[in-house]
Amino acid sequence: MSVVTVQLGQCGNQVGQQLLHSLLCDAQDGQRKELCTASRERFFHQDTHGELVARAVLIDMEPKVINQSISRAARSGMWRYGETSHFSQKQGSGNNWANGFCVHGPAHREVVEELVRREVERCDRLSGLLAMMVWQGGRAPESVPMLLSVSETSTLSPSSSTTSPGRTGPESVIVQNYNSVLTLAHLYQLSDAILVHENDTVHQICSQLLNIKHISFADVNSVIAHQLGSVLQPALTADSQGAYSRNPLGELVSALCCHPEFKLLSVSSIPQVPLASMAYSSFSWPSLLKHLRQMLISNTKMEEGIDWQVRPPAAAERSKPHSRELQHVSGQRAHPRGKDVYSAETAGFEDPALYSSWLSPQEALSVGSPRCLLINMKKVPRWSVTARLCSAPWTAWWAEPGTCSPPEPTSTSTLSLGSQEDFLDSFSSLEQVISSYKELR
Amino acid sequence: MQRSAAAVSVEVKQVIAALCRLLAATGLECVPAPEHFRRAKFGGGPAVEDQFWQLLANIQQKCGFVSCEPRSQLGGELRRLVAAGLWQTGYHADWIKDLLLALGWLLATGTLEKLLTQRVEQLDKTLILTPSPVNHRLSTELPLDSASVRRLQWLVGSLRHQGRTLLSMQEERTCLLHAVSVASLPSSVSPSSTDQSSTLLRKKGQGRVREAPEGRGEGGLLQGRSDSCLPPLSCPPRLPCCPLAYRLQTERPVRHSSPPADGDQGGTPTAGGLSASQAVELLLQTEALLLERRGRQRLANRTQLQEMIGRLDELVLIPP
Repeated sequence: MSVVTVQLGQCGNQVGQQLLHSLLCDAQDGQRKELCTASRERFFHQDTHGELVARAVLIDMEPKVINQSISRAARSGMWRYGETSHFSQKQGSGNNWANGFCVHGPAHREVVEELVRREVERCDRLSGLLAMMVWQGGRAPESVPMLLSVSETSTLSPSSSTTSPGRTGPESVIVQNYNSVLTLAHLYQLSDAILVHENDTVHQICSQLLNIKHISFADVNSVIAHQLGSVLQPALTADSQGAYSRNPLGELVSALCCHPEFKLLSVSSIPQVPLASMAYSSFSWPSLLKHLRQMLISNTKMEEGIDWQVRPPAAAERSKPHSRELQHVSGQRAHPRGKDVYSAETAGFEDPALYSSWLSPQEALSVGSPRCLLINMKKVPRWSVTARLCSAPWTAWWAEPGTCSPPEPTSTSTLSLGSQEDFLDSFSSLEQVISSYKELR
Repeated sequence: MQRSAAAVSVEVKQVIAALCRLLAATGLECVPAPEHFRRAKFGGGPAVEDQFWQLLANIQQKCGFVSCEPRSQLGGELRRLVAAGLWQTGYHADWIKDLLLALGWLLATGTLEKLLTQRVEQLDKTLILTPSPVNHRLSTELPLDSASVRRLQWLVGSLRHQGRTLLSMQEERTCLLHAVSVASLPSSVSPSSTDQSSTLLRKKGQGRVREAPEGRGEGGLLQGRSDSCLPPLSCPPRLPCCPLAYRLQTERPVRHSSPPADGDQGGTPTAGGLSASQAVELLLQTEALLLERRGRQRLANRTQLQEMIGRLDELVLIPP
């Protein structure tokens, strides 16, 4: 089954291009033929000349990044984007969410629908849509609300999953918080799952773990693409009987997003090692799993700075109010990849204390085993886990007084293009989501 | 819109006062004063909170969400009663501490209209506006802890996703069956032609069904081989396993999203060609014919195999 990628804005288009390139390189890098075929069929189709064409739609209000992504893909010589699979305008709209949602969305609805429908119809069987975007940022956010506007009024609903690199640092655009709230509120209604990457965390991985001095967008995109690739690349499971999974997004959503209030996912992927250090590093599954488990318990997104003092409560103490340091999750999905992957013991992740009280570990934890290696990690065991939890930083961001209170009627020109009811609906629905996560135990 | 804060404040006060009068007019007994609404926004204290608890319970009792008289309940019992009633209306959060929000929720669910309708009916017995309300009485003895509710919601979501997974598996199965149909066609019919319109299939496929004698194709191949050497004993053809069908599917040429330039292959329906419904009907007929032909060929192959095995000494065919 195939996945259609919808790349939105500068971030979505750059990360999307890097993701597709990483997936293809990984699949073709001496891997099993079945994996290569499955991966290629999932994300690409072949044209009449035998070239691989991405199952992707590129959308942005400005053409520059789209053209860069298209040319970068073509230069690789391995794949390309469809010649007509993109939509852009000549100008942005000044970070105005409502302008994108109320003006550009309805105006360009038919064109965007047609682009997505064409890609969907090329698929023999569609697993779902993967929309890639930034939902907390200043550059060209209009494409996001435009797609949301199209999706809400269209028969084509991206009802599988979205991935959204977010940022939790100081705001660079004054309306950034409003854009984030409005985008997330609408995404929550439209999507089955939302996979969040925090830019701050990715930056730390680049600087502290990968030892990159001058971090560029390409470095950040590469890290995000690796994390996404570890989740989206075809995998075997215990009951797949030797065949690669056919419904990747469906399996992901079924494993992690059964509850309608909990759709936010995050990825923890280890090890993160510079390529130059690979030859001098040795890894073992027990060590990796131990680190990863503690990362999940202490809500640490990278392998450095893990708080080893945080412990899950003992069985006798689980009825008491839990420690605020321990973040319970409502599901985990593991994708171990690498050498001797079947020796990886996952018993440590079956601790009931890690999960909400209303879920058993058997229900909450699922494990896939692709028996393959991610690129540049030929002999290194690598573990990636998709876990769902509410990360502390952005719930704290929501709770800051004045950060995201509903705007006064006179405070912003955004309201001139939308109704206050829409704002209040978005804020109240997001408040409920935040509250649900805070009560997760 | 440029309005002063003071003007906005006055308007809000007037709206709240109107709401209080409306709630009192519906026959509710515990309607707080407008000033208490303002104080409740900032906490208000225990006295204000009790008033709102009573108001919520009174509303729920009048609407039939709960059966107990709120006045007979005290403290924690009253709050459990309100929680039970709110749960009935879809309010599943734990934060009923925010009483104004809970009241807003009830009003948003149409409770005010319901109360008004009931009041009008009470005042005018000759006017029947609504049918007899269904008694949604909810016992306060039910264990309404949030964990149970969340688990129920999780189970519902899990079932929904399982349904989707089953649908996708059904699609996969359909694709595999189609691949088998394609594979069972004689080699002179290329797989690409089966992807064209049903018109082409009717012209070529049906013709070959009529012309090809029994025993040609797979069976004929076996017959020919048996003249020269014994074919290796193998099980009769069965449905290919998933990887094989997967390869068959990937070997098929990609369907073009736009109509092909040449029209003599019948291609995808052009503007002047078959309508979608006609194409579907023709495809279904063709599929039925192909399945029938596949069945006949399988039977022929099986018969031939049995005959061949019968001629061999000391060998027994064990069909699957």
